[in-house]
Amino acid sequence: MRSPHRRRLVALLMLLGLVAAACGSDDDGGVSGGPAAEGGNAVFGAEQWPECLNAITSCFNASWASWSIFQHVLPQAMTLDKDSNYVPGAMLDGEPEITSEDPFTVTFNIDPDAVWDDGTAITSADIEFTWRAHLETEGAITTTGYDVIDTIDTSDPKAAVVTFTEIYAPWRDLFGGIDYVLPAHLFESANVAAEMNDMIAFSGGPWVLQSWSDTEAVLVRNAAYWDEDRIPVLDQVTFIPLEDTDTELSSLQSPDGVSAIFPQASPGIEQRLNDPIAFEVGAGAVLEGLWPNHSEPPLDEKAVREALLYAIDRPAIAEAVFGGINPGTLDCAGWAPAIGPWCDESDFGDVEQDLDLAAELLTDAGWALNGAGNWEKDGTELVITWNTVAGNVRRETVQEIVQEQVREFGIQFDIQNYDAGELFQNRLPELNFGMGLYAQVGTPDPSVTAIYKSDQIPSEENSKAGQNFTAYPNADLDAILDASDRAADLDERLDLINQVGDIIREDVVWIPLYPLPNVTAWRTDVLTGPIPDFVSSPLGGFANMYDWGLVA
Amino acid sequence: MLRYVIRRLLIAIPILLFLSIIVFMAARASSSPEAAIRLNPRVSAADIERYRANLGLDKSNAEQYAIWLGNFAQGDLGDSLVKNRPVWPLLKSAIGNTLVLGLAGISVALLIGIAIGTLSAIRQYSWFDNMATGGAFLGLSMPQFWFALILQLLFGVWLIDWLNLNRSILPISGMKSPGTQGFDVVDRVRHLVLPATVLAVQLIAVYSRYMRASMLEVLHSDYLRTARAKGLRESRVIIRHGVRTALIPVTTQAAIDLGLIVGGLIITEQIFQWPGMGVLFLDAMASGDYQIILPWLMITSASVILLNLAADVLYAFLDPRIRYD
Repeated sequence: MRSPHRRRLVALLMLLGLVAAACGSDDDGGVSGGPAAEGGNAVFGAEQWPECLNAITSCFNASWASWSIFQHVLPQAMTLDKDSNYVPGAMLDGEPEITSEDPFTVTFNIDPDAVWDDGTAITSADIEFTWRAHLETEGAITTTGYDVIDTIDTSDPKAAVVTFTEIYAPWRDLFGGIDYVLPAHLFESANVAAEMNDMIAFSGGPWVLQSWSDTEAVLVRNAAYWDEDRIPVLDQVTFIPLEDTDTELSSLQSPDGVSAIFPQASPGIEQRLNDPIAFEVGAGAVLEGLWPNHSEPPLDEKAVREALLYAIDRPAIAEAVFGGINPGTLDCAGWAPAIGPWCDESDFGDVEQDLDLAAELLTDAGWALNGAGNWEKDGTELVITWNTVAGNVRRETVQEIVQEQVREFGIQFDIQNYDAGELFQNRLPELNFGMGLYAQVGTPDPSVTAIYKSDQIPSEENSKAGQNFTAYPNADLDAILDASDRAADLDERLDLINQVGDIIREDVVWIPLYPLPNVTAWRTDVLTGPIPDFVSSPLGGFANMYDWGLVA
Repeated sequence: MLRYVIRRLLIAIPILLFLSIIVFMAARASSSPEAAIRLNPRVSAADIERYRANLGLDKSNAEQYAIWLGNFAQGDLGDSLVKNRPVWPLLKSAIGNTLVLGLAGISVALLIGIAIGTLSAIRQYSWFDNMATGGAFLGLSMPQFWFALILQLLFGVWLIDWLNLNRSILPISGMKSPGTQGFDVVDRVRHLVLPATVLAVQLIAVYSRYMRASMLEVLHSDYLRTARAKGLRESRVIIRHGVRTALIPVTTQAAIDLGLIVGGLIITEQIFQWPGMGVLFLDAMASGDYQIILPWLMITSASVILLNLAADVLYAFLDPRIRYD
């Protein structure tokens, strides 16, 4: 006998059964922090997944390799506090000392209690090995800084005496900053190219990497860790890749998904971060702006660059692009506002949109408005070729906003956007562009020699590998950059960096727009602790996850 | 038939070579592993040069391709330019994951699609047939990415809110629950449900339409009339004689779909974080890692070619009227 009614009832019961399996207590969420329970496991989302785990080769270039793995398991000489100031890492016993100016020598005193997770002491030999690894590893991502070390004296296991061939101001970024120390006793050779690509089987940090794959990374508390201030509250943290932003947000919204994320800050993201989710926005270390090509007209003229600077409304651009997560306008000439004392906001802080001034600058330089209302000189209209990454919504929005802002003023733009590979791999190195809209990465160390020095203009001499894509040549600036890279005294270095900023502003080498915002978002019904403290840090939002706990 | 198969296989070789050249040129033109490090101010011009030389990127494109082809011909897939790991284990893992998802989706789609198509044909123009037709058009026109995101929101957020749950009925991403040790079949199946559903919905629409059309043709054929005239039960007539014949186009279509699926379900895998061939391809293409892209292409192209060939052979096997020689 047919029984459609019975079949429908069975289907309904099955559905109710599924629902019943998922039902639980009537927790209404919305708890904002509170005391932390001891132990427990947490799951966090990683928006990008490291390709590999070797801290010397190209794997190191991926921010998420550092944010999710390296800084939790590898020790550092100097590290960064939540305000991105250099401070001694847990493996050091106090501040390193500059024990000699000539030759320039820095002594790193190592904490007597610092040990690897196998109980072996962390010693000066590990620092010496790390130096050689940077120089001898095939495919090492950079030797910068390590190639000016002359010797490292390891006669005292608890003091590494590093002698340089020249004064090297960014020494804090060696063996630390965003770099790490490796264990000498665990490698047969300093060429570690074939090591650590899919696992780091040792630890000198608060966590031990228990397992790593393309789908998850599991970190557990390091039982041998000596620094009581950084002993993790949680027993275990699991990172999972959530490379699609919508998936990432849905996972955070789901009570059994991830409990914290550090997502790319896209406009409108805050609308999905509702109670019990909390979030914090901070200015990040990635700086976006307009980068004119000084070797091509019309931007080879300072008057044109300066007129453009005054013709646009930079605060309005940042507000329009970011809305509720606006990090503010970038007013210094090449440093992240949240990192150290280097960002001097007086560089561009006085600049407001002033169309009259922009017109005056152009007029004084021989430009005049033609019948069509466009600026013209010697029969040539002022048209700026503008290039950015095609399909990048944020940057294309900036282009629309700027065009609208200067439409009546009379500057025209010829928008030619390209695939990222074409722009960064072909056009910038060949200086085959008009004005770029792209971002530079700010680092804890303030050196900007790589992006401003004359010999870094892409050329045959440097095989087109230089990064001074603005092609801005200035011998005076070169001298100051060299001096700043050799100024070991922080006050002296700050003064030189400020001079660099003054020149950049004076010649309008580039037009800064905004630092890209960082966002840390977490479920307040799951996690508690100083979760957003590192939202602006180059170490990433999870840098202090040793202090995070589950809500009790 | 054998000559036909051999001929098809031989034609495939130059096609694959030509495709590999095109894709290599596209990969080299669109991105490069060095692009990622060019904007890192800690990396000097000398570092970039050394990096390029280490990866062989300083050689001409023709030379790089020739080196890769020579190694490939010897079965050496080399190491990923970006991941610093051998390519084959990465591909093997990705293929396995994609096949799990693909086979699950196709299996479910075949079962449901065949059933719906058969019933629709038997009860042509009934309410069931009209509903199935409407549903098929909905399934065909619904964008996969949209449906995937809706399912995530439905199971990850909305149902939890509406029903006041403290966990989701079905997981919305990944292949397994984070941090779980060992192989938990139930957990794996739960994670498979949503992505397989996204895949299956469109396939159900396709297979049900194919099956309906095929069944309608068969239902009115002479040999079914003969079977009824012989006194066979209607259910035996339909299933044993009708469905079996009507399945031919559906099964061959499924074989073709399986070949396409090996190339990865890019959208579904990306949204559900399913580490299959689609995600592997996207990552490799973004970083210009041709060491992964080219073997990926070879495998996916070969599977499309081979499974298309298998579909043709299967078609001839199932229908004696078909001959290729």
